[in-house]
Amino acid sequence: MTDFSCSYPDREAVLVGYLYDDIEPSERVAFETHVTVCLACRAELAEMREVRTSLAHWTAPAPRSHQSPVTSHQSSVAWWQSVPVWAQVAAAMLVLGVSASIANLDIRYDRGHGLNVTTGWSRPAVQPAPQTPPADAAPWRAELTAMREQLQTEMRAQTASVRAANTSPAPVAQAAAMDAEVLRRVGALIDQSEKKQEQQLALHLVQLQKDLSAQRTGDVRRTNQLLQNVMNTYGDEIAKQQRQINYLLPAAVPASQQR
Amino acid sequence: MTWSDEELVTRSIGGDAESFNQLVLRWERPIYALAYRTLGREEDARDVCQETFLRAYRALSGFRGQAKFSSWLYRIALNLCRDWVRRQRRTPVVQLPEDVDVMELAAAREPTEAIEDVVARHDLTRAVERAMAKLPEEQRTAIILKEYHGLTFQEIADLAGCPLSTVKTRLYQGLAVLRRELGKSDQ
Repeated sequence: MTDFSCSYPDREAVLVGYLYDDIEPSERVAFETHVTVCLACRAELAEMREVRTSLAHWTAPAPRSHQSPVTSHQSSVAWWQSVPVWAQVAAAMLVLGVSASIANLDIRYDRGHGLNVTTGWSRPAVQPAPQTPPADAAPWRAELTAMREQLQTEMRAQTASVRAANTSPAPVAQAAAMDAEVLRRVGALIDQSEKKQEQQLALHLVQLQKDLSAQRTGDVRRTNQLLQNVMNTYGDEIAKQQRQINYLLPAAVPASQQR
Repeated sequence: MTWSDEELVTRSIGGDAESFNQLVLRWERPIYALAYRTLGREEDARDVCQETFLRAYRALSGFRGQAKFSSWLYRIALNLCRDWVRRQRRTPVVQLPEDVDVMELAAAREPTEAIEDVVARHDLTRAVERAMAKLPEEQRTAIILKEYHGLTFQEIADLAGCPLSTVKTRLYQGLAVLRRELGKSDQ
């Protein structure tokens, strides 16, 4: 391990401050001057910088949900906004019709006119014109006719409003929104598919790399084994020959030279 | 127009929920990253992050502005992390996210990046995580706040409730441990 011994005053604090550039300017200048002459501080600073470079590789994953804790408890989307537009229109029509029927409901009965039931917003307009009933007609017949006419008028008005609602741009917008939704889903599916394929490719690549690495390691091991065997074999052979030479050499050297 | 944190806080206290949502969007990622690096698990980090903002929202009227809003938020998150670790009765284990593996990393690589580089980068990340997990809590927190969140020594000291010199010592000692541990993994 590198020896970082140095007697610079308050060295650790100054070194860390200098490393993170969180230091008084005067201290920085003084330490910079010191570093130019102090090998230990220079070496430690370099190693600390390497550590910081390594630390930069540690990235945190992004949070998956960007939902606010406030909106998660207090939904910003009203529940009725999730109901389809056509259902909202139908419900509104129903409520309107019932309200219109009930709002001006008027039931009367007297001896002169008998039972009289009227509904609708514009009672005076749809009030049947006073007719002189035939002498032989029952009094309820005229009332029945008036009621029938009134009901027909209201039904025509209802039919017209429904037609108007059907021809309004709401269904068109709804269809466009559905198309956009379908397109978005298809897009998401394609993205998922592409990501999956890419992952599979990466998987194959990594597997291939592992296989190659394993193959290479095996080859190296076998080669080493082979070399070892060769060395052992030839080593034995060489040692044997050496022994023979040593055995033969004294006999071959003349006695005069031995002396 | 971009509001400052403190302006958004004032508006939130006045009842504007959208202002608080903006604060959440602005600080969600740093708080989540802090919790993740401290606890080491994605789902724990998510829970702590959410709890941090909930607590901040409830205590917003008590925020007097003596410190920066971010420092206040960091303090809540760090306290929650500390409680979390104590409640779980375990030291934080820094590990790879559950659903991330080398294949996924490889799939997410840059188009020009070779597979060997991706694997090397992944190995280095693992080494850093292992080394960080060996640090005592105070040193790890100091390094996380300085290295990844850019807080000043004084801000860290205020958050940790300790003298400035202690923060510097913790950083120095923490970095020294990391240097040793990362040196081991190189061999």
